[in-house]
Amino acid sequence: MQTGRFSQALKSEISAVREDRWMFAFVYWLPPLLSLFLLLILVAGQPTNLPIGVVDLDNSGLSRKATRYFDASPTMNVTRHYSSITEGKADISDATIYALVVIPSNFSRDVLRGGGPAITAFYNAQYLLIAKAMRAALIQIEATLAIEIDVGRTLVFKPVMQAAIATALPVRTQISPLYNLNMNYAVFLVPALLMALFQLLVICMTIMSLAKMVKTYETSHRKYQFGQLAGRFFFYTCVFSVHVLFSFFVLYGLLGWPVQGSLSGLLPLVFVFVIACQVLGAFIHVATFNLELSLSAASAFCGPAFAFFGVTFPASDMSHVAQIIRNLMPASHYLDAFYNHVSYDAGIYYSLKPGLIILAFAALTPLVIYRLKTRLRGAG
Amino acid sequence: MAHLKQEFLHIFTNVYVILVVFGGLLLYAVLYPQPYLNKLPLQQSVVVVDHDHTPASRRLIRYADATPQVQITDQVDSVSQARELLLDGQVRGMLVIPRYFERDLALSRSPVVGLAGDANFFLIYSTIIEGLATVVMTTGAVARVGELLVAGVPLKFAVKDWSPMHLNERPLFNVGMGYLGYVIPAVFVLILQQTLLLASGLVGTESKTKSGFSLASAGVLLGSRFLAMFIVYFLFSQFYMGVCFEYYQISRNAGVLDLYLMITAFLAASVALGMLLGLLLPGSEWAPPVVMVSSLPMAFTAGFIWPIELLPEPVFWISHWFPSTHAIQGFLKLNQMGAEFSQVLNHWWSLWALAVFFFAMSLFVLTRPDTVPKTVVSEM
Repeated sequence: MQTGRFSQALKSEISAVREDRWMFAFVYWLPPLLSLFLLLILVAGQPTNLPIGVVDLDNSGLSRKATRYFDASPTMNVTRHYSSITEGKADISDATIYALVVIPSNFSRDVLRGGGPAITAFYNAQYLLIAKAMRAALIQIEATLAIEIDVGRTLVFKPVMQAAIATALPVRTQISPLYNLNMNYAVFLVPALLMALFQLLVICMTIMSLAKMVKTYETSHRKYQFGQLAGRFFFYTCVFSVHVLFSFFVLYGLLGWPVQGSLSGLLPLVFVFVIACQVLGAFIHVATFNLELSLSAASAFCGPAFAFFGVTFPASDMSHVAQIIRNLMPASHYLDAFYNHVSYDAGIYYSLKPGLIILAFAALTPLVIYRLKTRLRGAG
Repeated sequence: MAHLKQEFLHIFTNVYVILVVFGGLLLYAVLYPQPYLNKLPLQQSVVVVDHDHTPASRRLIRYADATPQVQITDQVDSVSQARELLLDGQVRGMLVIPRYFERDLALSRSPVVGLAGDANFFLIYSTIIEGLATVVMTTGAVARVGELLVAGVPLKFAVKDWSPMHLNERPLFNVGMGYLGYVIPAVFVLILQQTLLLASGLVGTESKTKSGFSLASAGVLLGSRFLAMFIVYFLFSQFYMGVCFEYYQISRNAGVLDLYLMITAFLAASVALGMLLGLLLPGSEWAPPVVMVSSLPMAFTAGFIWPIELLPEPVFWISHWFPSTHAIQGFLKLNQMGAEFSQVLNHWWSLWALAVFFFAMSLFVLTRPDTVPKTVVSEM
């Protein structure tokens, strides 16, 4: 009976994993532990209190006020004061400070005279994400400082606050960071990191389990049976789906990260994602039936997955080769649907397309079964 | 000498090492930079909602379209229509010009222009906001200069004095703030380390027993294994940090001697860790999953993506056990940020400390009394 073989295979897989120390680790406790580690890395959410240095060549009330403005920004903290630029530059080179603000001599005088003096801010652009945050903060500080000085100057001859502000700021902007209101990096980086991790784990564990099955079948001259295969696979589908759902629970339940749509709509997608990874893993293995080779190939493919998701760098700006690789990964389609749900509440329609694409990986199943059938013909 | 030859044979007769590791190294050099070849995401599509329909609002739209960062692709009548386009992924940001924009500008009532973008994708978001904010500021400045001219201020002063002070923001090192110059110098170090660990894992598990060696024979075995892998990877690092950096136009500021000193320490630590890994793994098939699963945590704690100042204490502590953490920081500071060798001495010594520790641990594993049952490698 198919069902008998199914449950028998399921049971034997559970006990096999329990007996193998390494399998046990990779299936049960490493996934949540690694997820926690990745979450902890980004727990701060936003680059804040980054150390910067100031070279104040003016030493006036106004220059000290400017220094206080830089210090007061949530993004940075003035931790060092230098008497010359050379001193400060050495500290940027070894990343003791991320930026160096230089206030020129006669800054205060030139402001009053109306020469439009310039404060120079050098910042480390090697660390791009930090640099972007730094630059945004610097521009904001400049605007605040300039307006405050300007309003003070204008009030002298236009003693109406509203008018003075309008003179200082002819056009105002209202900037709305949509869908991620407090610009929290963790909120969109962590799910992608987790999916890269889970994709790798599911594919590798599928290969491990399948290789073991093929080996025992070959030594005992048994014939391929679909029920046996399905039983084994079903175990991993369940375990890894639970891992993914548990990470949802931690992020959106315990930590209370914002969810625009409903998470329940994602439930079927999680299963489809795990199954797609399993089919892909099996496909890679049956190509050669060589354990080391297929594991290495799978790892080489999944290792840099995160870079191809299009989370840090827009997918639309990637080269064609990169887009092809991206489309070959179940996780990138899963993430498309995931962000549609979690950030945009885009409705079920928007997750249908990525869902169907992930489902398309199941089309590899007949190929996998064919390869297994021809390999495992049984005795004789 | 015979031992060294033996170890070289181990490396070069192992099909997986040749195919996956060395082949992978060459493949990654081409593949990994693929997503980022366009360096900067420019010409992001933006939708305009113009409630004003005046020459001033149309000029603002033209200015916006003319900036390299954004491209006006659509114009709609309401914010809700703009939101639809944003959800569909047809546009990445929106520019909302209020009614009476021209009138308010002329009357110095500072109209408010709305800028919005999808903040989940930080690179696109910051590009769009940067482009649009500059345009709005320019429009404001033009209006202000016009006002000053009307008030009788000569053009020469008006152009200078429209704002009481300016900020000169100067990105250092990765001057163009491109993605390639940010990712490649750091990630290539990680790729070198990870493929090295993978190769060591695949080769190192081949010795039939992993304990019960005399100290002398263990020393000879490990010494020659160390030397063989070191020599191979010394050549690979020349390729990565020489040929590849040249090809991708990555800056190489480090002095030759400084660079070799750092490479030596980095390889010593990585090779020693690889040997230990090879001795601890139950079989070579575990090398790919173990190595690949560690890639993301290693990349994100190395300091080039996320500020190390913001890592929680336990994460920070763990990250110091990865050679990549010290190596990436050391190489970036030397090669990209132009630091002196004295400024990276702490990283250099840390790498040597790790090398000594991992080597000693490997010796310990090999020489411990043969109490545990001998682990025999599966003959796959």
